[in-house]
Amino acid sequence: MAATSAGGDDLLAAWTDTQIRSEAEKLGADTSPAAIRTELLKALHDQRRRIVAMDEEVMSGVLAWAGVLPGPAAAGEGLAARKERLARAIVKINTMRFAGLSHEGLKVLAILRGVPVRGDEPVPVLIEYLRASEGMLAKLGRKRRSIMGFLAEKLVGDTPRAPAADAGPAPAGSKRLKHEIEDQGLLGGIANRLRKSADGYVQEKLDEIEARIDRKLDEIDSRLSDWRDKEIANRIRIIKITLWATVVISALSLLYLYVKSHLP
Amino acid sequence: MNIEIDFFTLWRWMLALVVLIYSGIVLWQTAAGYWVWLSSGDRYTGILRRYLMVHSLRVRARAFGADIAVCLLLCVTLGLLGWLHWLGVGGQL
Repeated sequence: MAATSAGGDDLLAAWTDTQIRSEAEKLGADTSPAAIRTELLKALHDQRRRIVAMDEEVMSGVLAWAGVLPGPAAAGEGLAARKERLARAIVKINTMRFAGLSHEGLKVLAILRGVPVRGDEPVPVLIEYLRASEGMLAKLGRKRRSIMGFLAEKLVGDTPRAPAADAGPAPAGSKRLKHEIEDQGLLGGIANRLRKSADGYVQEKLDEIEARIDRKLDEIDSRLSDWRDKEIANRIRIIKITLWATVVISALSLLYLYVKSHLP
Repeated sequence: MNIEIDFFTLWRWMLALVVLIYSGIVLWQTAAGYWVWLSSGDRYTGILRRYLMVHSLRVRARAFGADIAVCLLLCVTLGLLGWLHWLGVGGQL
């Protein structure tokens, strides 16, 4: 039911205040509970304007950093609709650990969390703003989930090992179980981890199957090549034998002709 | 008018003609059938056609060079014998 900015103004006029508030919150607009309809519409329009002004690559980079997929693209989706889709996915990221995120990515994240930024703040200031924007209840909830994540990690035995000195940076989207539970709750974090393990397993098996199919195709190709060469060799041998027979008969015939013509 | 007919020679020429025509027709029919089938627009026939072309291009003459050389020499020998036959029949041998 998302009314994108592409031709959705007429649709917005038919919406209730609750729907407009919900749409604005999905796009990360800062709405106060007491806001009236005009204020909600203004917040929604302003947020859409900010989203359209964002760089799509930076938005995709934020999603890649968080290890989140943006959701399926709609057919005939325009640039503005695509950016809104990315924005909705970024709004769902609620982590408070920003290590590895670029300066531009931090700005995008701050805008989509309703944090007013000018755009020229350095990284530490942006991180401070983002941390300050978290409400007390949200912070307490996150701390509670962090403790649950720590306990779950100990239970499962998924404690992180210290990375090797020559190991590169951790792959994008790889998170400790504790951090996943801290961001998405106990069940969400565990389900996410199980899903990633299952995806990894399925990917491994698909690669194995693909390698096996490739080997079989190579084997078939090599057998066909051998068969082709054998067939051609057999055909040429048949032609050779036929020619030999013809030459021998011709020679005999010539001999007969010669003897017949020279007999008295 | 005294016409001499060599029945053996006649038989040889008739046989050669009939066999030539028959083999020509059979070869043409087979080749035309394969051509029509491989020319069809079906996706899988197209894949098969391209695969056959690739296999044909991969044939290396080095593998059959010796046999082909022998066949060519035999053809030359046959031609020579045929020419000698023609000389013999003309009474020049």
